[in-house]
Amino acid sequence: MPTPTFRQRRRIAVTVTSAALVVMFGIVWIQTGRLADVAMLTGGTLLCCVLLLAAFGMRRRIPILPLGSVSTWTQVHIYMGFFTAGVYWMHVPNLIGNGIFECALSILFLLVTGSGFYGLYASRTLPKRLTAVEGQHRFDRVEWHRGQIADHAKKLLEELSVHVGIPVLGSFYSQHLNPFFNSRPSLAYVLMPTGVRRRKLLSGLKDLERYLENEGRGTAGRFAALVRRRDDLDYQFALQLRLRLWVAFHSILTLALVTGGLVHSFLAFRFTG
Amino acid sequence: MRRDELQLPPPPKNDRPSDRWMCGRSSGHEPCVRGPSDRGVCPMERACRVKRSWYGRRRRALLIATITLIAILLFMIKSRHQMAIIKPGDLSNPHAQILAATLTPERCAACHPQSSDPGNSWFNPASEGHQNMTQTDACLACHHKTIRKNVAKLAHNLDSQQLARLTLSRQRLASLPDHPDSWRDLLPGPSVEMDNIECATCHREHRGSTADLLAISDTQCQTCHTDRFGSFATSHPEWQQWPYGRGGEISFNHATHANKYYPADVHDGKSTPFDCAQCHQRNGSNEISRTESYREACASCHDKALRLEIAEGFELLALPILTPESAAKIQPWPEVATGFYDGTVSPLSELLLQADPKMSAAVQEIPNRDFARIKTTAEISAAETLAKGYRLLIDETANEGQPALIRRSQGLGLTPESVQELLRPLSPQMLKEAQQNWFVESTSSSEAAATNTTQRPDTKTENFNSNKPDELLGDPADSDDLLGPDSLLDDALLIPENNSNTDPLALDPLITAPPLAKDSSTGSDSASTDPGKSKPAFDADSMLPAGGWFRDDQRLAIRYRGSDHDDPVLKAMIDIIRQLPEGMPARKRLLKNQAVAACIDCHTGAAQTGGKWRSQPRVNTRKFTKFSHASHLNVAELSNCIHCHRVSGQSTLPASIIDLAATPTSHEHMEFLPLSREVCSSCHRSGGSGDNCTTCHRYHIDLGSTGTISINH
Repeated sequence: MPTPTFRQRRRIAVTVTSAALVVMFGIVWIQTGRLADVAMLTGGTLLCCVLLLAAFGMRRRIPILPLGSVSTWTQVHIYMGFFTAGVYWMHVPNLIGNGIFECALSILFLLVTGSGFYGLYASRTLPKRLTAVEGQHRFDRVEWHRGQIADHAKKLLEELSVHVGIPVLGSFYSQHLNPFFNSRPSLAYVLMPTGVRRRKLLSGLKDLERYLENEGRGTAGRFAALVRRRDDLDYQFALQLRLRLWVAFHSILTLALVTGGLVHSFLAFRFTG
Repeated sequence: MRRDELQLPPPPKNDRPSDRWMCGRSSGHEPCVRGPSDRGVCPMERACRVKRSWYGRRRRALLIATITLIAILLFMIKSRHQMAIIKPGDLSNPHAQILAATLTPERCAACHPQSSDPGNSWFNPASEGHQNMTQTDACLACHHKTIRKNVAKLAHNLDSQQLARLTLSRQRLASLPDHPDSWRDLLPGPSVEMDNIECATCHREHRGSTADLLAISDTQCQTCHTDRFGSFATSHPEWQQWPYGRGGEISFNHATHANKYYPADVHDGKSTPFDCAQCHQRNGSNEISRTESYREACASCHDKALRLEIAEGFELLALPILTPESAAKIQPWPEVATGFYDGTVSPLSELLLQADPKMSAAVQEIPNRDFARIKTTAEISAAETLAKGYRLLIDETANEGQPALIRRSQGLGLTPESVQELLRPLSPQMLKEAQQNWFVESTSSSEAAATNTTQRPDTKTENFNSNKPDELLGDPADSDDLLGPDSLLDDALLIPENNSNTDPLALDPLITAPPLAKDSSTGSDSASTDPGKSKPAFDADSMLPAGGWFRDDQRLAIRYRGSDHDDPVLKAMIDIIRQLPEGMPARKRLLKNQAVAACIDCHTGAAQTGGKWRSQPRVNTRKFTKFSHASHLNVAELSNCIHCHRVSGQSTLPASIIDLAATPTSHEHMEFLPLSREVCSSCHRSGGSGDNCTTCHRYHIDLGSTGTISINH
């Protein structure tokens, strides 16, 4: 049997998920009309879905057990997330529950769901952007690489012989390059990395060429290479940080959501009429 | 310089992705080979400042989050604001106001029995004192006055038999060929049992202060029904008879009044208009009264005839006529009550005599309770026994008063109140006098009565036949031929000696009884067979215009004359009739009484259901269908009654003009033309005045003590 393409797989998954939602909605509608306790039905379904979604995180950490590939689990996780969002709307039509605890639980769920949808987007776009930038740097070693680039830049300036370019490059280094090499990227850059500061520095170095002779221009060229290397590093750092923060945020909130959901289920059973 | 010409050293390899700590030495310093330990300790002599890896930082965040979660859970469990935290939303205003003054744990426990002990409420299935207590029990603790506890969990608060009858009637209607089907009939039935429906099935709390506890969808309303439909405007079943045919306390035919009687009531050349507002007026709450008082609505036409009918009244007792032989056995017995067997056992006296089993058996022996039909020896014996019973009855009442009659009625299971009301105006002194006049006088004058019957003083004929010389006539022996003895005077009719009765006219049955003294229950005028009664007739019409008990010495009867509409004694009489068993002969005969029949001719239910003398308002009753005129009368078009209620035979003309020539329709047997659904659905549709089931129908029904169910609500 030929392996389905990505498009085919997506089409099948969307169809199955939509059908499941329609069936669920129909069941809820019928049960509502039959005076059944629909909240128990939708709530129970919701809890099972959340537990199954949370199980994906555990599956990723237990590769030994023969539970299917992570990619399959990922697909199940994604479409189960859509289904869960639909069931949540059936359970809480107003999206935010009444009461302190249930309101907090609703917000928690919405944050997890929202972060999940963002993660779906991020996991599709950020890796491409990461691979488009040259270099593969481990996140934990980014700081070390920054240090190396800063040291190299300092060494370049020191190696520059006494020349008319020294005051020019030295001035530019102390004003622009040193802060750039020796500090971490700004929060604005981390949130939304752009090429603004890179272009600014490179254009600044370009403008200095008319004041420099050959050696000075060579040094300026090396500074430019360091600027590009550092900018690429910061760009990778920003995107990697975004992905990692998203995973941490999503998983920690999922833990809180599972805990809150279990407490809510317990209370609902306890106080049901 | 190109990127690949930039030579930078590779990073150290003294860490792994799952390490929580990393070496803190930056470039230019010699990093350690192994890196820091799991605890974050640098092995170098000159230790570096170790740093957490991303993995380490994530684990620390996870730890903090876990500790925070546990702290929040502990706070929720142990906090005194626990209930406020876990409360799933505000209560609706009615409940919130009631519970506002209570402390939080007790407040929740008012409906959630398990929350009375907040410390254990999460883990104990039921706190002490609330075992086996359900939430429905908590609801009924307050609402038991509006919904009886024994039927609260039954569908529509009706028992299974009532529900089964309703279901059958709807199924029959649904099986009619023209009855529209709906796809909703294919939906599954309810998820609850018909005899075990909890309050929370329909009424959900904690949805905010302004939430409607009574809100329920049409689908939910119909889930238990075998016949379902869609929107009101397009698929609700037609009304059939509703709002007519539901019965009522007062019998009134709108059609005949509108089409026949009112047009025939002509004054000054104009017939009386049939105006709805004459009887149906708005009260203080803008509701329409079902009827006005008798004086305002009916008396102008019906009072005279009613007075005539109820003036007939009824008989408490009447002594029968016995043969002299029978009378001799039970002396004393009134002489005027001897002759051929005649008379009837009045229904009331039958009831009073039944206290004695011997009398009861004797009554059964009398054929049709008519003494005139006595033939056999057993019947004669029964008649004699009854006569004794009558005398005993009169003696007891004369000596003991009303308690004697009340005591006799107690064996019939009658309520003391109704019997007392009946006897209230009855003076025992009257019976005392009856005893004396009928029995004591008859004893002393029994011999004289024998001659009295043959020598009844008649002054006219006596004077005429006496030998006293007439001054005008002179001596009969005179030779005046013209004034002398007249052969015509020898007429037997004029000579008392030749006639067994002094007064030949005394034999004429037509003049021995007053015109209105005819007893309709007996079907005969007993006085006509009562020979030789010499007591003057008591003219109840002139002497008792206000009604009351009286003694009829001619017929030897104690009777009651009715006075007016709302006669209390007649009401008590009918109330007694209602309490008697259905098949009892005395009951049947009492119902045929003219006065009684005149009452129940309009108050049809009075003889079946207690207290049903006045029209009861239909609003604010717990029937299936609710309707209030008040809200509808604000619409100008609807303030005209005939917009909805059209009397049969009426056209679309205004109420003051009745079209007597209207073509009879299939519904002419009803007073009103059927009220069609379109009359209501013109406004009551989605987007209009509301078309939910609960707009017009109730769920919690209370059909009252009758337990009857009208198919048409």
